[in-house]
Amino acid sequence: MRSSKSRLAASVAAIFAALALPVLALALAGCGLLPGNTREGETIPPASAGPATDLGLGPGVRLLSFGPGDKGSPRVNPSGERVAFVLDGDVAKKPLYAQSFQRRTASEFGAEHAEWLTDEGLATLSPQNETADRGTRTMPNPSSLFGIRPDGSSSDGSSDIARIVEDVTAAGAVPGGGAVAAVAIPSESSEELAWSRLALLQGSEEPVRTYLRSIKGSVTGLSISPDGRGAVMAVRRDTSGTESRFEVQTYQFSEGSVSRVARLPRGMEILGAPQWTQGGIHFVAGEADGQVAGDRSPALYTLYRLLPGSGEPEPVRGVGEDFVAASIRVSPDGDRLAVVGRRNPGSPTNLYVLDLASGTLEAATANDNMEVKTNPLDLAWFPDGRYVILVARGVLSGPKAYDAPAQSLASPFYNLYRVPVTDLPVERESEG
Amino acid sequence: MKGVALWALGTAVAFLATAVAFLLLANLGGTAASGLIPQAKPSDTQSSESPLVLELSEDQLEGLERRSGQRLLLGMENEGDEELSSIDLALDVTSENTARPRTRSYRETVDQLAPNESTTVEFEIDLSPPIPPEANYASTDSQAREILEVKATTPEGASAVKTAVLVP
Repeated sequence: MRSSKSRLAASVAAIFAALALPVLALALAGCGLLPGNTREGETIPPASAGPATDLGLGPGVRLLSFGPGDKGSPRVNPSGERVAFVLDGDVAKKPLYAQSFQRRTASEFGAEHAEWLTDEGLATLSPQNETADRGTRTMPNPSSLFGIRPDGSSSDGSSDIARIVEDVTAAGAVPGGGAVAAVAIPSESSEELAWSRLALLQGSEEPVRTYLRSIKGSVTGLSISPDGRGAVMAVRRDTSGTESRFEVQTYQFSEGSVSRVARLPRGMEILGAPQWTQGGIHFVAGEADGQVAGDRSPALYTLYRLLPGSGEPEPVRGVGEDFVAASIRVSPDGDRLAVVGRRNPGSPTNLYVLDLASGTLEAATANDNMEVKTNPLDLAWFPDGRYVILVARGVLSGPKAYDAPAQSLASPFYNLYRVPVTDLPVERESEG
Repeated sequence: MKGVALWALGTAVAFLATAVAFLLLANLGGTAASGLIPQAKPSDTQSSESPLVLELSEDQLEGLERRSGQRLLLGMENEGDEELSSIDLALDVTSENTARPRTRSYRETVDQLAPNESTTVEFEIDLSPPIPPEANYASTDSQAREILEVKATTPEGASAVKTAVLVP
């Protein structure tokens, strides 16, 4: 009787196990934990998955997008799962390694750059059609800051967009994403006495926090410190007659106080937004008269550092005397600086990483006939600090034919590239 | 006791059968949805499975001008062992600017192409620049590269694609 019971129990257990194992296998397959997952085909394969192919930027670089379109302003969301970017004036977003993307703005929205907010919504700047009636000598063309809610309900996404701040001259975000500061010109401001106000936005549906302490001058570039406690700005101030001078100003959010921390020599201008790092404030500046109107050639620009309390910017020696800087972006932890530039005026544009503690410069890319975008907006860190995204396309001296559809081509068009920036070999000053 | 065991066994089988059915349905649904997303193909070359081969000479592309009435010769070869018939050729001329692609489409048909035979198809295309736009985003339009994409298909399923990128 006892052995009969045992046999029955064993039989029940065997049947249960036989039925449970396939169920478990199916469940794992559904979760994508077993090989042969059908989702694999949707993703952009890593460079290491196939034969070693150099995308023109050196080893380890991975493509994050394909196809035609002028892409720019890449930004990875705070959780590191998605990337947003501007595509021909529209804001688009997608999972990092997926090929397909979702446009989040109506066609020809005119977006200039996009930033992630804490609620996974986006903030984007779009130029205003109307011209601010305050003269045009020192006032940058104003834009509007729009908030894009995280999940769209309409087919074109247009109803998810709301204008938040008008007459914005500059905007910037905390390096890891999540908070966006914008500087707007109030209607009371005039050409003779230009001033601005700072607004802070954290969620697409949260109220904007406006700081009452005014900023004297026109803000041309802005970024938030990695700890999120303050903003650093490039400000153009009128001096006498038709001349103006650039200043670096900081804004402490907790105190609502603004301070001028440096004033540049006459004739020099700051390119893009200064960056608040653990090694002081860094910015790219050069002779304003050294460029042709409309041509943002970085030929004369140098990377400067401003140590706390010094008031005197000094060229960063670690990059080398001949280094030509174009754009910079501080890492989320504030201890490194991504720099797009050239070792000397004759060398190709590459991405470098400056270790601020040691002062060493490391080359992250090895440019082989690629045209790397040098706009300060076209550079972004991953939140974990392991990668930097840049935008590049292959240099074409003439027409070229390919045996593939345009949508699956990458090199002929501006696309997003993920560049590893850890464990890089230190580059000597004589190299390049 | 035996009744209890049989009751437990029956319950477990019913539960597992239902679970299997739901999981199968869920997997079928997932497969259909994922098929909507195009597969990533980072290479710039197509597979060599198709007997159709298209050829666009880069020297010829070099001579194209940004105006109407441009003559484009497309070479086509049947590298297979069987004759191809009713080859449909679709040529799209678009701008790299996805916000304003301005697609111009052209079609030609080749009645038949014997094995190892090649032919040339002529298109007259319009490469004239667009009227300057009034919308917000126009800054990079004049710098956008022009795309010529030719797709060849046959009723038998043979296909080929060739894309040319023209610089401004």
